[in-house]
Amino acid sequence: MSKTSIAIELKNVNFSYNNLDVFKDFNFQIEGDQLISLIGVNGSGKSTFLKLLLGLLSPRSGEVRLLGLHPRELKVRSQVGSALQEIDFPSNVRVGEMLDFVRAQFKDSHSKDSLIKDFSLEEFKNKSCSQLSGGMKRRLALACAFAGKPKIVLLDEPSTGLDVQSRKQLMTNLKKYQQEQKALVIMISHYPTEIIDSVDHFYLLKNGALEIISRERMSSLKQVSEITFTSEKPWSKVDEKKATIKGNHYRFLSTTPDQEIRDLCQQNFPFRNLRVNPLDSQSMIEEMF
Amino acid sequence: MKQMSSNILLQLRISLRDPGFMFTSILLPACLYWFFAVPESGNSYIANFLIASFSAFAFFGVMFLQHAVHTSQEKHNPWSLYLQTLPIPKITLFVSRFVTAVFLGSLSCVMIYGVAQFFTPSDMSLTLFTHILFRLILGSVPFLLMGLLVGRLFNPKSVVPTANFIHLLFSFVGGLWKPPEILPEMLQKISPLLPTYHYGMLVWSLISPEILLQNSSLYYLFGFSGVLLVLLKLTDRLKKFS
Repeated sequence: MSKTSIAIELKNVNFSYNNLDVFKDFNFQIEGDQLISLIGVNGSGKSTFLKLLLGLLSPRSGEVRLLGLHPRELKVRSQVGSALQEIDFPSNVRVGEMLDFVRAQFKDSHSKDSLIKDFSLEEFKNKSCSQLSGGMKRRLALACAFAGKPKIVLLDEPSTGLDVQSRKQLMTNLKKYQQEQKALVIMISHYPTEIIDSVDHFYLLKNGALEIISRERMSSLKQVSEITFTSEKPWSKVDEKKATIKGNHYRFLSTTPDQEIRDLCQQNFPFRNLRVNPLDSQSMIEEMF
Repeated sequence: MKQMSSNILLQLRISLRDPGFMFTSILLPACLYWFFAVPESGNSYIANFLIASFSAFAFFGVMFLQHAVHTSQEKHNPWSLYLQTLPIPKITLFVSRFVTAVFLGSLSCVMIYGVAQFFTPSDMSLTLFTHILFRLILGSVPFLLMGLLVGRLFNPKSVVPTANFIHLLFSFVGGLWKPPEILPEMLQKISPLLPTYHYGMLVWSLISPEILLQNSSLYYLFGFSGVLLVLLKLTDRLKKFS
């Protein structure tokens, strides 16, 4: 897929859930051959967005097009690979049998051996799906997503349940696949700061609209820390630091926590219970966007 | 063809390796036959009649329950959702489910036939048994549609007890456990109103020279299928508007 061709297009899409508008006159289009990460606070509609792209949900009005066609067209489905947030496999089917089944649905597919190797499933290929841990099920779901050599890959939190090493390996594999196949990979990630180097663009889903976030901006957020302390005296820098106060508890965010603490000390400001914690990715998205 | 065979193989693996399914759908009809029909099978005619009846009960069960449960889970179960993202034509899924149900239903009937050969004076030939199976397969279409409808109307939690209740009620009142003529008088009146009665007629007419397969039974099964198709279409429309 060339980068100039439109891989995904949503026109005037309206979608509501429990009478709550998730997307209102939503328009979006994206070209192929890139790896993008979709970020947003919980409940912002990220999973709904992917389900609309997969044709699992239908918009109330408007159009969703993948490769110029309706997402439910078999021609589209044969070029799309996906791993949803909630995964489950028939418990009494073995891992190898599951891969055989998924591969059989595509005209052209990766070999079973290469999928087993790429997704580190060697030890488990003869085990039934019920014997797999959450992380192993996730790996199997990813292997299934890539089995049919898709041109569009949609992944909903693919790294959930994986350890740090496996998450790094996953991103390396994803980037390699995306570049070799010139595919469009869209992934929802809970760890955006871990994948800055692999991702071409970040898209923030907020209030039913997608906003592009540069990698530089995401990088700057990598070092955000949460600083909290208590003090009986009013702090003059509350507005400047955009701090929140609850009783005598102060809280603010900073990318230079060392400097902030030095400043507090130099001002001879009386404080106690000082805490500095790195902000986790999900809280960071909630706080910063 | 590769898609079709892989779908059938997967569904057979799922069903045959599931002890719960194997017991309730494959072994239970044979057990019920053993408990309730074997003691009644005093001569070969009654034995053959009860083999046909319980085979109809078993085949109806597999065809109806399989489709009801699958359909109900489609919108809720993560695996079913994933299946919908694969490039599998709907007709492939449908046919593979039907073929799987035919295989499993036949297996269930074979179990009954096997029990009968050991414990009753049945003289049913394999040819006649195959003929019975053939009619059961052809006549099972309304139960497949009934499964689809029940699956659409009930959620995955309530579909299993509901479908089992319908299966047992329709089987008993339709005369698949006891011949309709020995049911209580009120049930005898209701019996011909049920599709299971006419399904039974398809196979009873092969056993008893006194029972003729009336066109009315065939019309009933066709008509019932037609009504179910209309209801299925209606649920499709209601779903679109909701």
